[in-house]
Amino acid sequence: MEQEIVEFWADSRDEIIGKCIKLSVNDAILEPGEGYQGNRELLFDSLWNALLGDMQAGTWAKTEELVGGLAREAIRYGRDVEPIQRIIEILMESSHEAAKAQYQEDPGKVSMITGHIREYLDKAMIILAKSTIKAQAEVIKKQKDYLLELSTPVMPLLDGILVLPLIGTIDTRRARQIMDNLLSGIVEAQADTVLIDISGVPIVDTQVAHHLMKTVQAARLLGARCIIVGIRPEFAQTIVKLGIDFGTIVTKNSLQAGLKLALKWHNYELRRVGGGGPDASTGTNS
Amino acid sequence: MHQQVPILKIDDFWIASVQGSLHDQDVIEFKQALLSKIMQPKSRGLIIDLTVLDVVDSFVTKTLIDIRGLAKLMGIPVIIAGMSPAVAITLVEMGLSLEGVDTALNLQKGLDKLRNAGKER
Repeated sequence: MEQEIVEFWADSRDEIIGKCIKLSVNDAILEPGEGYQGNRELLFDSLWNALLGDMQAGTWAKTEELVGGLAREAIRYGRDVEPIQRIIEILMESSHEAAKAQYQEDPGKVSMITGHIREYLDKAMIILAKSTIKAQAEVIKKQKDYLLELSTPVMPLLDGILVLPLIGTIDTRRARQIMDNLLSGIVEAQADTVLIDISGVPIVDTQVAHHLMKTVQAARLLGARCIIVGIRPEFAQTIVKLGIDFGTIVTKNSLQAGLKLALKWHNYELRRVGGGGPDASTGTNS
Repeated sequence: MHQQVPILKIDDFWIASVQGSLHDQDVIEFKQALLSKIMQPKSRGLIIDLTVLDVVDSFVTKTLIDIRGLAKLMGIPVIIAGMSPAVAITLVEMGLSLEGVDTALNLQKGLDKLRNAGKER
């Protein structure tokens, strides 16, 4: 019986593909999908071949490979997966029609045959959904890693002075990364002074304040002093309201003030040589 | 088998370099040895170098705090030098931030600090 159904599908291949193409012309979802309208014939064909191959072999391997590959490709190039879903739907409709046309006089047989194809196409849908979610999760993970890489630069400013500008929201994961980066930066540069600029951190809550304290304490254990600069009024209020003791931590209102203090600690002196203002004749950058 | 911590003298400063992790018994002996050294007249400071130490437990930390307190009573400044990031993170996560203990990035900076502190006095 199974054999017979598979043979029926194999025989009516041309008919079904033809129907699919007719259905897909002017389809609202397929129309704007880049790359799908042009080679839809190829898509229907390869999907049908994969399904037939799997039916004959009794596996899912070919369908899985094809649909999974399509979903991954769509996600990678930022395309919608809806057209792929639509293609499977159209295949379902046209095969249903083909079965009805063939066995008009026997509704029982029609429902059996369509039930058979439905099983395969449902499986294809599930594969599509699964692959899409998996591909999206991969993309998200990659982006997260990129973001972390970008987000915590430790800059050596002068001999023994580091600057750590913090920008964006700090969560536990990032706080951990910041601490690791800063500590290894301190050891690498053998720096005794670190300026932590938090003016770019939009929300400062207990969690962030706690991480900040821990980072400062760990840096102190290594033998480096931290100056926290750029504390905005809201942050100051949060700190006071929450009753967090910033007691021993050195803070300054601006990066400039912090830098001045750091230079003083290192016995540097910052002063102008010659006349005031940048030299107009050689450009402002000199 | 236990591990001796070498305690060396440079000028009037004592330098103890902790090599590898210590058992509790070693830690106690280490503390006693250190105290007897800095008791000597003319001692002006103590540096405990942790450069090669990569694991600490709470007992070692407590002993470090003890040593610092005892030395302070004897008028000897103590500096902990060369702690590694991993150890620092462990201590902070355990909530032991060694408040009041002086630290330095390396042995050289520790010595410089002690010398400067001596001058100011």
